[in-house]
Amino acid sequence: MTITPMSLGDLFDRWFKLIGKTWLRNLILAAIIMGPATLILAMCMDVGFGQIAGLADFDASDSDSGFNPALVEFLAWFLLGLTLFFLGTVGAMVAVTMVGCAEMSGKPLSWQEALQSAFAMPFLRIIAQYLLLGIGFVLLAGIPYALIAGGIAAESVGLGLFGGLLLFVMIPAILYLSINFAFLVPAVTWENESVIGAFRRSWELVRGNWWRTFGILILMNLVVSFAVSIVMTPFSIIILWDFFLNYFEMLGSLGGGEPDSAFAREMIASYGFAFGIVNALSSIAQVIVAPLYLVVMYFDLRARKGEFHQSAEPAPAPIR
Amino acid sequence: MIPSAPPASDVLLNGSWERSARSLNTAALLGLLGIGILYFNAQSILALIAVFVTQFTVEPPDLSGGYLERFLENIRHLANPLRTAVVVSQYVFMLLPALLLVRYWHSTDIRRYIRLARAPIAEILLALLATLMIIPSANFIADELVRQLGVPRTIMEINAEIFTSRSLGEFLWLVFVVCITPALCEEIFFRGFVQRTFERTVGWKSVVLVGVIFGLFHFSPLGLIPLSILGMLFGYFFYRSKSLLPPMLAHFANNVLAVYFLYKPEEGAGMAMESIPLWLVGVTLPVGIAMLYLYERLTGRKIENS
Repeated sequence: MTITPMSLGDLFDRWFKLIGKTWLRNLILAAIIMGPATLILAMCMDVGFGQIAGLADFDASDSDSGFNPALVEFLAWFLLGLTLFFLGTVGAMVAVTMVGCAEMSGKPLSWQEALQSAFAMPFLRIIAQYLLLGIGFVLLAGIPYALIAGGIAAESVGLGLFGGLLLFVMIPAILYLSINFAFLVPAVTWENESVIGAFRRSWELVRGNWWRTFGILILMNLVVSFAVSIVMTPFSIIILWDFFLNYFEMLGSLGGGEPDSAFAREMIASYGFAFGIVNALSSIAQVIVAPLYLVVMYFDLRARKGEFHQSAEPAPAPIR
Repeated sequence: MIPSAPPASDVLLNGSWERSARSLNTAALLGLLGIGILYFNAQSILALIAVFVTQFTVEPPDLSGGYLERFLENIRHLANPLRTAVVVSQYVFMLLPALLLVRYWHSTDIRRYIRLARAPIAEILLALLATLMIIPSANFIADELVRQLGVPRTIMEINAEIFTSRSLGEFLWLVFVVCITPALCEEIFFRGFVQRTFERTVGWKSVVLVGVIFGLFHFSPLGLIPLSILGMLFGYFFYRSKSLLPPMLAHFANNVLAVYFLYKPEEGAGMAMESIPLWLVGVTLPVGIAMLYLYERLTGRKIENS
């Protein structure tokens, strides 16, 4: 299959066609991989919001340490849910990327094949890459913050100012690196690159096309976020029905007065599970489509580097 | 003078998208999402600017009463700036980009592409009457959802405030803001551009698809079902009549009815915000369906020709 460099319109066209061809397989993959994590996250949120609602009644003087044990328990559950959900999201992203790359190459992959392959080496490598990226970005952002904090502690204006200036440098630096490393997942899943090799590969692909990649990624991100927010509107009202019932009951009980904190607590407590489900569903919707634009851009960048055989003859115009 | 509806094959398809090998569905979807992002973001920014300017230039209202009453007073105070933001964003960030996309992607003959064409008076009248007969059913569904959720009356009043007028001048301004502007801008965007482009690949299914999208685009969970029904109704008129006029006038009629019911020239006057009785739905819905059947018969020849 010949892949040539694409214009902006072509990129969107390929992306939408790819979504059309793969959405069912991707939905199945996302549901299988992210479904259990979604439920766990929602349950953790349910417990968590219940604890938050009860915080108002907590008297710190009754506790030896001043800590609310329920809050600690909530944090533990919340972190567990979030970690599982993150792992599920990465797994689904890898599988969807595999399906997309295979489709772009003209060798379609079934969801069963993608599921089997996703949790082999690629999954672990991607996790390792995200860990490396996370540590790197935390360090980049952390150093200026540490300098600012140090400046405040040592009452040194110069140190604080230097930290502040460094922060302004670090933000564009993080953005620059994020764009350069945007194609780690396709590099690992499709080219079987190693952890470090994928960093090098993604950097190489983006080189010379940074601004173009940056602009298109922003556009595609905007499109995905907007589309997901539209699609989630009806789901939100169904899933958050109990919350809205409480909310309107609270408003209805106001009369001419002020909101009652007891109602607010009840409302918060009823929010957790549904909030977790809504968030997870919108993440699933994003995972079905978002990795595919990276796939299309990955193939476009490869074509721009002359990695595909390009036919000298122009492609025939389609017949409509 | 508006020309009569041309046969589909007469439209000159010389835009850049037409000359490429790209999918028409992508054009419709990308245009829809692109204009949606532009419109909603621009509208939010304009509304913020309008609120900001009003807060600093107009004396704030004397706020008294409970939490919701104070909120309602504030909304009344900000209603006109918000209406202005809506009007500007509809023309500049919805209508204009839609026309530009049609011009550059599809056809230099914009009027023919979006079917801004005459329609027989019988079709227009029937579309208007059918809409008036369907409105009670659509509103009944919305009312039922509001009742099930127990939405307080003050909240409904706050929602309605933007459509409420208290003088003839304000009423006419609202007719322009809420009736003429959406009938023109939203119909050209949703029907003239999006549905027209989808229609070329999926045919009648574009009526349902764009109808639902029309409902979703209002970002109103409680209004989703009635708005989708109205969207499908307007799309159906567009699809059958091959003209933008019937859906435009039907959209205008729907909105003008809402503005008329919320016209309160004197304090306490105007129609009370009461639920639609079931008997009214029982009477109007069969009549509306019968009118749609008549519309189907009346426009049959156009569909055969296309």
